[in-house]
Amino acid sequence: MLKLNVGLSRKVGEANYGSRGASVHLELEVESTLAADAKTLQERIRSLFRLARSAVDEELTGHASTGSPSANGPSNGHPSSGSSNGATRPAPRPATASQVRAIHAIAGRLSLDLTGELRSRYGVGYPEQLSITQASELIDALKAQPAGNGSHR
Amino acid sequence: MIASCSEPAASAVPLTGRDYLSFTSLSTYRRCPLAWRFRYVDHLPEDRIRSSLAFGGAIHAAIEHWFRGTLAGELEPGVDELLEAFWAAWHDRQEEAQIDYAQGENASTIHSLASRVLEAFVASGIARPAGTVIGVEEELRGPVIPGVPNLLVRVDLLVETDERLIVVDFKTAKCRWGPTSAEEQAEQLLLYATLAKRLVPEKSLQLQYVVLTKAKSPAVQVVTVPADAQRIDRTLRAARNVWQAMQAGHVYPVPSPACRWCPFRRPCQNWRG
Repeated sequence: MLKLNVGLSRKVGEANYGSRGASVHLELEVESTLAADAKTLQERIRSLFRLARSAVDEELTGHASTGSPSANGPSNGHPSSGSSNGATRPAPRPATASQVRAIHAIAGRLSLDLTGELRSRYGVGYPEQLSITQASELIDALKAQPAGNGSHR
Repeated sequence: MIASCSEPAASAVPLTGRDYLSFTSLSTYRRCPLAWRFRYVDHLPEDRIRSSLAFGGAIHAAIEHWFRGTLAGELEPGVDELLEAFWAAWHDRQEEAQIDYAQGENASTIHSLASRVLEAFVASGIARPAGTVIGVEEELRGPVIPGVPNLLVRVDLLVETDERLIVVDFKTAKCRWGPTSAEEQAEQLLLYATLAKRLVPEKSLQLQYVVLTKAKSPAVQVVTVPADAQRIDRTLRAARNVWQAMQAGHVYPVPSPACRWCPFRRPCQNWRG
């Protein structure tokens, strides 16, 4: 079997320098024969991204359920999708999509248990729940680790 | 105070199929409203592209590859690896449209130029900025003008230092920018500033164009644009007026020397107003 793993994050700004974000990660197992059929494989991947995009859009337009672990709320570690971190409650800005992508890339390279690392360091389950500063710290910390030194999956 | 109207995103969708405005859309309209209509409303295919545009896009892709790798702690790629990213982007573009080479250009001269430009980039300080990279080709989106759909921008590079957030946009140009170029090109970064500021509101912004010259010995020139509040407000007002003109359907051709490169020459000639 092949595993397709796609992720999508998006942030929207709000008034008074507020913002909110949502992200979704999808994993799908497909027949390994698809590896030889690049066109169909690509279409499956596109389809997953379309699904992810639709879910994120829905989340950000306010149709999502509260407490989804995939959403960035106003405070790190306390997801609350669809809520705003506007003027009345300034909060750390969620990690950028570039940082989230880098964290996944480093964790993959180190064969790291990213969820465990995030829980032990910051008490969150997803890199999207980190602030920009926390994400920068984590990236620096992970980059300093030699390959194979992490908690393996 | 900027006037507002209700549900700007909803009014954008029937017009362009999008619920946002991009900087490119705004600048296309200001350059030629009819070209904007052909691209964003009629969605006409663009089967030709100037080599200079394809070159700029491919250099961007190579620089993106550099910064994504360094952000993720990978070894710095060599120029050969950057050239692979360059050609991958070039070929992707080529699949979408025919690339029109300028006189004297061919794949070999493009390769040589890209190699020189990327070598200059790698050797420059901008490849290893002081501070922490927090965004590479980062998409930012949000409301910036009441009554106007969300603005969507893609920022080439965001670097955070102890004191400021540096917003960088890379440009390729035939020669170094003169003293008036920063002023002429400022609006793009000023619009980016309105969204980037929300990432790190407590820090000041520094807006930079990094100009890579397509010369025998390419230069890497850093041009700073003042993040002046009045200028930002003026830029937002201009964007609002452009949006209102888009909504009102004010389209007309703007003949210029650039028309000879325009992918919409034929529909433009057939346009009857």
